Amino acid sequence: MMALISIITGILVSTTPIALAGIGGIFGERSGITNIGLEGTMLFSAFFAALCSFMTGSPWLGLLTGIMAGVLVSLLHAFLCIHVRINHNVSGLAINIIASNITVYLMGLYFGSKGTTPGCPKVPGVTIPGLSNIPGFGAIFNNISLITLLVPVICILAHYFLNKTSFGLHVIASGENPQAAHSLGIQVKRTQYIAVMIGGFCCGLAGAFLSISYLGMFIKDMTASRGFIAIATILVGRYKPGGVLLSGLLFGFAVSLQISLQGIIEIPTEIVQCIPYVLTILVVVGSVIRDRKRKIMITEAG
Amino acid sequence: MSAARTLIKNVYQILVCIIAALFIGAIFLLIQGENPLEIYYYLIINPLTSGLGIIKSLGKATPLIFTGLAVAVSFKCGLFNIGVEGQLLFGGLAAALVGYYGSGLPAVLHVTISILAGMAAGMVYAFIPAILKVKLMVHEVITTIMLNNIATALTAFFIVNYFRNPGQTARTYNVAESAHLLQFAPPEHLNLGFVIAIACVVSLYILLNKTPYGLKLNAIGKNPVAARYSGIHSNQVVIITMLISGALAGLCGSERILGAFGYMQVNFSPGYGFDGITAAVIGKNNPVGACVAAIFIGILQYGGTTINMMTNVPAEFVQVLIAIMFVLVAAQEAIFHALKGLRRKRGKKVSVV
Repeated sequence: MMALISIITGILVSTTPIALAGIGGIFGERSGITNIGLEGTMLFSAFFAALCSFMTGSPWLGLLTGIMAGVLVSLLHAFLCIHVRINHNVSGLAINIIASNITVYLMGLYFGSKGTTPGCPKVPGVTIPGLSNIPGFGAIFNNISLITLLVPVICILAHYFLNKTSFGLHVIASGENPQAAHSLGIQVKRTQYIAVMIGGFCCGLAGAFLSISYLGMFIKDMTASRGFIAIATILVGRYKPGGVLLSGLLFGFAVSLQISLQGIIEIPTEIVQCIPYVLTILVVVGSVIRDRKRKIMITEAG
Repeated sequence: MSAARTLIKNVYQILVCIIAALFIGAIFLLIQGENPLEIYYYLIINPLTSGLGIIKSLGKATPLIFTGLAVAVSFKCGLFNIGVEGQLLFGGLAAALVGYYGSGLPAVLHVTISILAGMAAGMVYAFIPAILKVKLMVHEVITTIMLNNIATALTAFFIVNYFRNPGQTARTYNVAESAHLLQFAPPEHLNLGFVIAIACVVSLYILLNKTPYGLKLNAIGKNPVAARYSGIHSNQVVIITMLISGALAGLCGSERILGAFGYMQVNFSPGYGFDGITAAVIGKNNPVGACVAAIFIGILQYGGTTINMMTNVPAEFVQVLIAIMFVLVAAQEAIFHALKGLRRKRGKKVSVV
């Protein structure tokens, strides 16, 4: 029972950053701005959240700084793509490269170390009164991260905004046919900016989760390709918040399997480390084949 | 505009971007309370004042020329091969294994086979995203990034479990003497790999500019739809381009193992693949440009080791500086377009007054 509980907790922990970045990333993707800089955005947020939490001693200020960092970095990406009009992938790559280097550089300046920061105050966990008393499974809701609890809320909000509000329709219209959207009076550029910044907000939460909620410190390149896995969840989840959350759970399962299998079964660690990445490729390939079949069916029916 | 004028304009604009990046870096240094002039002296001027400095800079640049070319050729075709890092790890592993197990072969033959093994391994690993892209339209950014992570883990797995040199930290057996690349200068600074790199620059330049394949590649990179309508088999070109890219990445791995280290350590690459992306972007995906950019990055990185020793600025500052250059050069056209617009606006105002 304890093993099962720890596996479920592990899945929740691994799913949180991937699902958050994925759900936020949907908005940018649907508005027509590809963002492969989710990884770097998350890394920036994780670092600044840890830095602020360490300096001020308040994890809440850290959380706020992390979110701000995410929004600002995504604003930069939006600016580079929309106004400067450089290739979306180049801009995203630039953000990833800058993030990976500047965090190490600043870590050296502020903490005098190049690998990890000292421990910083963590956002306190929440214990849900009713649920945590359930015998057996209650332990899952004991001391659970606030950010993890936010994931379903954000998923529902994202679904609502994307499908039920005019803003969501503007986002989709801007992505599918910017000229047509423009001729209908939609401010395409503004919509795209906001859409990309929503992604930044969610990446900020995801980054802050990693550094000041889960670990309580910042480690060099701690995002470990989660941003890219998040992009995969967007593809696999067919650009729908619910779908992305589900595929996020799948990847979270793979990542937590990687962590909990280490030392339990006689599989070499290096092979176990590959699981989430191999799974990403397989699932993306699978979803492409699925979408293709569906397209063929539609054309045959039509 | 003639080709020569376009070239001069491009070089001038790239130089302006690099100087602007140095200014931004200087602000960082001033905030930190350091003297930017002193730091830049160590970074850029000092490496060029001594023979050893130049040799060491070129030695640092050699792997980046290979990865820069690998990225440039793929970007030119509109392919985002970010998997150079993983491809070079497998290239290095193959070179290290052939270099060890092939001992007894004549030196020239042995070193050639080892290099070819590295190239082949890089090509095989680059073939995976290429075939996924062509057959299933899976975007290469996601697959290559995932393959990088897989390569790091898998090469570590092979080294630790099968080819480990006992008594050493996770690394392979030493490569046989007969597989070592010819050294030009004091140990491990500059080797025959540099000459091979320059040869690659020249051949890639010819390939891209003087052959039908190069023409097709450029056409696909500029407008894939138009290329398809004009009857170019784009799938074929995409696969060949990825294979060339992988081969160059594998060459980088071979050069490092056979020329610099003499064995393969787990995770030996400090990010050659990613610096290669920067070199390609600064060099505007032109083989010669990427080579010059790689040498420039090599100088800065060698300078970085000096500032680490001589001043309080960490060597990571160099990587930050290079990243800023990356962004500015990537945005070069837009920046100069905006500047032109500003100038025109100001001119109009004056004429109205």
